[in-house]
Amino acid sequence: MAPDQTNLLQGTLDMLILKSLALAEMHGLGISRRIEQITKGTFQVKPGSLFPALHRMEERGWMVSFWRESENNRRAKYYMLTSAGRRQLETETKRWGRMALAITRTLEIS
Amino acid sequence: MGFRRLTSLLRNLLHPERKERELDEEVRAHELLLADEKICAGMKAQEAHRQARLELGGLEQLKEQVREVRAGHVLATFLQDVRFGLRMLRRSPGFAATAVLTLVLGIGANTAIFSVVNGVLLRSLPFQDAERLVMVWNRGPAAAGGDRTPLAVADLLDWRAQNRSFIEIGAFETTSYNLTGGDLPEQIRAAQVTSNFFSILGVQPRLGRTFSPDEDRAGAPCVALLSDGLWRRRFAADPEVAGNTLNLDARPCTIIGVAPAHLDFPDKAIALWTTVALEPPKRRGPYFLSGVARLKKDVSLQAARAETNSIRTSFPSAQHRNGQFFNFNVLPLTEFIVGDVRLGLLVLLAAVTLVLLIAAVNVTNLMLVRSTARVKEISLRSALGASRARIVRQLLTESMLLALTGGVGGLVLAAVGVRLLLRLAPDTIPRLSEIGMDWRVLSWTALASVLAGMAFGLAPAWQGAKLNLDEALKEGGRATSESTPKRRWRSALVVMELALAVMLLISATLLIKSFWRLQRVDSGVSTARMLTMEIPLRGPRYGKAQQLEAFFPSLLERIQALPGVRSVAVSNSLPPDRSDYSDNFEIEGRLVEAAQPPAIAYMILVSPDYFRTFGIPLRSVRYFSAADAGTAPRVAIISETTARQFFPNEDPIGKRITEKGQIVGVVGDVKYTGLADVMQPAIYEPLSQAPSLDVFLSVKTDVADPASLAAAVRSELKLLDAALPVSQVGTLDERFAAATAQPRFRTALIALFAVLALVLAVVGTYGVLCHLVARRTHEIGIRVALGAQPDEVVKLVLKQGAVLAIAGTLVGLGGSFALTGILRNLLFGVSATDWPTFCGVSGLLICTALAACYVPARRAMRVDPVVALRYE
Repeated sequence: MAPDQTNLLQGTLDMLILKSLALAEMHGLGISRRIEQITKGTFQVKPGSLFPALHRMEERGWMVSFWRESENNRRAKYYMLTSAGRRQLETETKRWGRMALAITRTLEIS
Repeated sequence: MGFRRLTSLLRNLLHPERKERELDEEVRAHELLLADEKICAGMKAQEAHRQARLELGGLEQLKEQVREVRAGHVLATFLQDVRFGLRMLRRSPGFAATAVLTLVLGIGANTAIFSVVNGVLLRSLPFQDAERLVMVWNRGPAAAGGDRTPLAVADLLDWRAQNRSFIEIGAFETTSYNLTGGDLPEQIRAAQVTSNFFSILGVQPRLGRTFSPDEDRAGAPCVALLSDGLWRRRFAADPEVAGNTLNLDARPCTIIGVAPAHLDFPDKAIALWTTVALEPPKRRGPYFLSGVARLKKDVSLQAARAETNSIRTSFPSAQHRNGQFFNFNVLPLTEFIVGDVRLGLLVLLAAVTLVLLIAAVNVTNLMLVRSTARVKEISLRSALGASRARIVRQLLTESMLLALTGGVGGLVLAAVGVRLLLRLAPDTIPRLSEIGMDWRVLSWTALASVLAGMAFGLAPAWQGAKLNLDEALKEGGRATSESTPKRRWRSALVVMELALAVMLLISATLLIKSFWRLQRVDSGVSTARMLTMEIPLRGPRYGKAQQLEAFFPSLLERIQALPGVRSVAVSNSLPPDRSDYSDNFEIEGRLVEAAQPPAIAYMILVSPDYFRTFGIPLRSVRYFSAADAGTAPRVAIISETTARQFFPNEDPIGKRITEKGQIVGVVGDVKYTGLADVMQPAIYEPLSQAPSLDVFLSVKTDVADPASLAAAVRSELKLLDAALPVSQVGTLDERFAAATAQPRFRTALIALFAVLALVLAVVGTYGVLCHLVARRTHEIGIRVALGAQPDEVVKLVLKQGAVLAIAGTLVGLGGSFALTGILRNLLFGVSATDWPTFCGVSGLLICTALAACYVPARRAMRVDPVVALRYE
């Protein structure tokens, strides 16, 4: 995969993960189910993309993790946004909005 | 990198197992959650778990993907590579030990020589803006000192008066004093300098003051600055020493200060600086000063040279109306201090660099041999998904481990080696005290190790990366014949190291040969059974010529009367390299052409028995005798070279030399200016007619060990004058040995390195051939099975070795021809393209290389076809 494409997808995935965590803390499976749900099944996040993304963003300080019992009494690792994470989500959302607008316009003109 | 990223980096590196455990738990929990989900959807428990595991994919790959995004991933891989590399090296200790030892030798020798080069050539001189300092001499005829002919006072004054390029101009001469007062009379070496000497150098005294402007006028009271050494030795480092009085040649002299430690200018033996008395000159000569000056900020050396040479000289002699016969030679100060040893040291550095190259080539070959053995491991790694970059990194890490271990070992060897070098180095090498380890030496070693590691790591890494997976796995590490490019690589490396060894051996042989020639130079005297010493005569007892005239005969008589003494002489010069006095002269009745340089010769002042004592042959008429006394008509004896040079077509006997007397004899030539120098003209005068105070006493003895007479001679001298300082007592043979100490040191070191190079190259050739034979065992087995005779098998292997040896020798000969230009200036009496040397070394190398091939060849001969064909 060419690097720019990876960056684009990675940025999108990051944004989706941040967005899904905006309301409540969640574990990994919860996040991927939430993304499926929001995007109506357009994005299916595989563990191979999910876990590296979560660990990377945690190291960047956008989220923190902790262990706790899940609703069906299993111990799971939960992720929660930090204020840095919220700021990042805002920037990402704005950037995405600008980009989407630009692309839409380009497509309309031609 | 933000703070957070840094803390996670530290956490990841410090507690990798905690991170790993957590990751493991997280993935496992994920799997369980997935399974739960499926059970809720109505799947059976067992099936749900199977599906969940499938959905999750390969656990190891997943975890690896997470690890790759973690902070410090690169570092962690590196550490892993290091651990793995260490394990690989531990598994083949023979290989590791050989490689490390080779590198330790190469890097150690290199670092040791580099620290000498660094201390002597690279460290800046202890003067302010040392690069603006220059030395100035006259460019005169060889007999007067050649390019370093001293200046006359008139030169200095003319130069000062017409100067535009220099901030300040000064001069100095070196001399020796008899230091009395206190316990023992002591002879010390001193510099007589102009009053601005220290301000030109930009050197501040550590105590007291330096000279003030009018202290170098004639008749000014004597003032002196002590060297740090003399201050500690004679005055117990007394901080109140300024103002005390010293007795120099029985003349009182006031101490005004102490020079900083390590100020060894003009040379390291200087114990005292005092002022030179600049008397207004009455004629052009005598020439005894060395000029030192500081260039103005915006003046280049070239401009200063041009300007200095346009200076008009005053005191043109009657015959030389144009005035100027000398021109000035302006040299950077560093050139004066280290110029003599620079070439020798750089050649040594080049030699050890060749040794290091050979060492690196050897290790490269070892690595290549090993990488062949590791083909299977490497192909397996590639098959399991290791990228090329990852494999190259792994191989490079291993070679860097070797290189750095070699580097550390090399540093230790160098630290020991430098100490040894300093003990063996002749005293005449300047700035020896400044040699030691510093950041430059350490970076040099680090650079050498890293470059070596890259060199021998990249070759196998490059090959490893190029590996064809299918082929390699099919071969499966079986001992089939190797691919051609790989063999070519290794052959090229063997050729290269043999060539480097040839170059070093040729250089070493040339130097040994020229040293041998130097030892055998005809000095013109017989050195056997001679005892010599320096006895400078100082003080009021020797103030008048008549006193001296009475002193010498009584001295000679007393020594002559000692048992074991055959004859004894006093002179102002000594072969092979002690002569400080040259003068211009005119032959009476001969007109000198205006454009011709003045006639100059070394003036050798001697007692009557000098020629007999030194065994200098008489060529015509007579030696001096006791009858040539101070009141008798003045006489002179000339050397053969003087006769040939100044009386080419006439008989010199009976001719008169202005102010020196009538020529009464011609004697054989003697070297007074160093064994390697061309023969210079010399004129002998009797000490009774031309007195000198700085004299040597030489005794021809009847005993096998002339040094055993030293005590008797000394006590006799003490009876004559208790305050007479006697120094440099030793045999004439010792003086000759000291005169060749530098070339001996240099030659011994180069020879050592050449032997090291030869051994390394031969070991390398041997190793590669052994490997080639091992690789060809199968093929040789077939040959033998098909009826090849043992001697044919031997020939097969030897031929392979011979081709390598001959190719290496040819390349090495080519390299040596390229080097001759550098080496030429270090050689004496040997041409840089001396063909016997070139042929001899080539023969030696080819024979040695073939001998190294013989063992593997024998091994090939004994190959049992049954075993060989089964061997897979």
